[in-house]
Amino acid sequence: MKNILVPTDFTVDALVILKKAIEQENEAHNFILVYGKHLPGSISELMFFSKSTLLSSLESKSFTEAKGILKNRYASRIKTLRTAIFHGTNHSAFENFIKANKIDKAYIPENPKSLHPSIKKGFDLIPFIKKSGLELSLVAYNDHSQVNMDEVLAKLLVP
Amino acid sequence: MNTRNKIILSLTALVLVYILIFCGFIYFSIENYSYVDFYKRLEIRAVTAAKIELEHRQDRDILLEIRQDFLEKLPDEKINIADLSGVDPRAKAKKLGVPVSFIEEILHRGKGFYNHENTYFSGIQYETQGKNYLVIASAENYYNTHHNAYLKNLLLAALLVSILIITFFAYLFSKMVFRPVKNIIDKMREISSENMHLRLEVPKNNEELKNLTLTFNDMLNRLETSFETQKNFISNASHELNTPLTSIMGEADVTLAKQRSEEEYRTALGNILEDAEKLSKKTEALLLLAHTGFNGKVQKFEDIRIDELILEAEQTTHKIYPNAQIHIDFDLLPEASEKLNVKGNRQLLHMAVSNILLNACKYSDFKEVRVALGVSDDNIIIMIKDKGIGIPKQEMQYIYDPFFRASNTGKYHGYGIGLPLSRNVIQMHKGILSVFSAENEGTTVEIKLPVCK
Repeated sequence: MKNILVPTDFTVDALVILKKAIEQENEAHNFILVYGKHLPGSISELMFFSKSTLLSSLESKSFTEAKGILKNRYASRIKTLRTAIFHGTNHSAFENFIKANKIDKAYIPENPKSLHPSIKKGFDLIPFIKKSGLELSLVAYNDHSQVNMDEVLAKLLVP
Repeated sequence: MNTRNKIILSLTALVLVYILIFCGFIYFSIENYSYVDFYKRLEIRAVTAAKIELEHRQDRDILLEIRQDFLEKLPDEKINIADLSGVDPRAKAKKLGVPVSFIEEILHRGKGFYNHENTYFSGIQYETQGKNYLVIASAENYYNTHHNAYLKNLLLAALLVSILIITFFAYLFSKMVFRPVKNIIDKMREISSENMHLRLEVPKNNEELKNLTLTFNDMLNRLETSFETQKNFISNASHELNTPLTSIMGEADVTLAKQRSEEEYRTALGNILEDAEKLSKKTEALLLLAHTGFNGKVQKFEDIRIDELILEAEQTTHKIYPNAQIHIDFDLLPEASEKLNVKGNRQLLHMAVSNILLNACKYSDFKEVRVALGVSDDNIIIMIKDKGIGIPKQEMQYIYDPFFRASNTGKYHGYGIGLPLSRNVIQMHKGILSVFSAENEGTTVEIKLPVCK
């Protein structure tokens, strides 16, 4: 059993990476969707900062629904599926993040520009993942033709 | 009592209670202060009198003069000095008209205070040249009778005036607060079924009233739409029902105009039968629509496997359109098959799904139609996607109106009942039917049904 990191940008589209990652693995693993976002800069925002509130504000209804579909589809291959946020700014922080979450492997899209974390004011995780010593697997996913927030589930169900 | 009067009354009462507490506090603390102050004055007088009379007898005249210059004379001022050794408290008390306890208090504690009605007594023990004296000064308290009474009257008058002022301001305040509400009421009175297009003006700087007017406007929008729908429905329905009827009447009229051969009668009757069948289909569809739209009706619900239902619907579609291309994608079907169960009415759900499949095939000229099924934690999601003519964006809001047909559907045969009927059925199962479409690109229909738990 491994802990597998999959970068996400909280669009239904990007769950295709997760789907392909699950399909490439044969056993049941723990999957962690990771998003990069800086901590708020002001002290008042930091005081009332809560990870769960942030996560629920990032996850749209259709994203949660799509996650549920995948979980049901691959019930025997997904041991756990959770979402985590990386707040760090440098490489060693990311190494610590990997160590803390005991991550063994990562799946990243072939085209590094196909994820759009900036839509929800996050930063790109791909350079961090590439630089770390993790076992990497590339996934064919680069047909992110148009960036819109009209997240219909159709994108996952009827590609 | 209306809210405006309530505001005036409660505001006045609130401020009045506050002022009353405030006035009471001032009055009683001033009274207490003057009381203590008067005893102090009497004590000073007692001490000075004792000093003059007992210690500086030789300078008595000068001291008396100074005293008269600097200590004002109190009304009914009396000073009584007695040698303590020869004093019997009872006789002394009786002589001065004070209770014995007052004299005893002076003897015991060195000084004492007492007042009887408006006459105040202050007594001390004075020790000089090895002898103890009892000095008692008494006077009428002028401040209590005059100053305090004046203060009382002043506060009462101020209270009355402030009630008037507060009531006036509360009135102005409530008028100011309720002016926009009154405006809304006046405007709402103007709007009736005749001029449903009128809308309320949205105030800019009042959050609550802004929400209220927006809600009103929203409600008016919905009302207007439903009025329109009703109007459209009646005209559409009568038109739809009238067409086959006119055709039947025309056919019969022409046939009856002169004697015809048996063959001709046969064709004419055949045409009439065809039109009558059309009419019957339409009324049947209308009846179904009315039934499914009715909320209170008890439906027989059973457990249905949704994947079976989709396959059945596909077969039905193939029977009607043999050249339909339907691709069913069960790739995302859950591993646990019990999650595919839905509580519902089989006939109705079958009709709803096949209606949408038929539409997808028909309006895409039998191009590929993709159907996908997925199950999330709460919903079963059926996605039906075609690459057909789509729906014009400005007509999206009318697609659920019975008999409405989009402007680009001219060359396709249909009544405009299928989609509203499907939607009614899905809503009956507590599901959601949503349509996403772009003209000339295709339409995606998403059906969400709650998972049977």
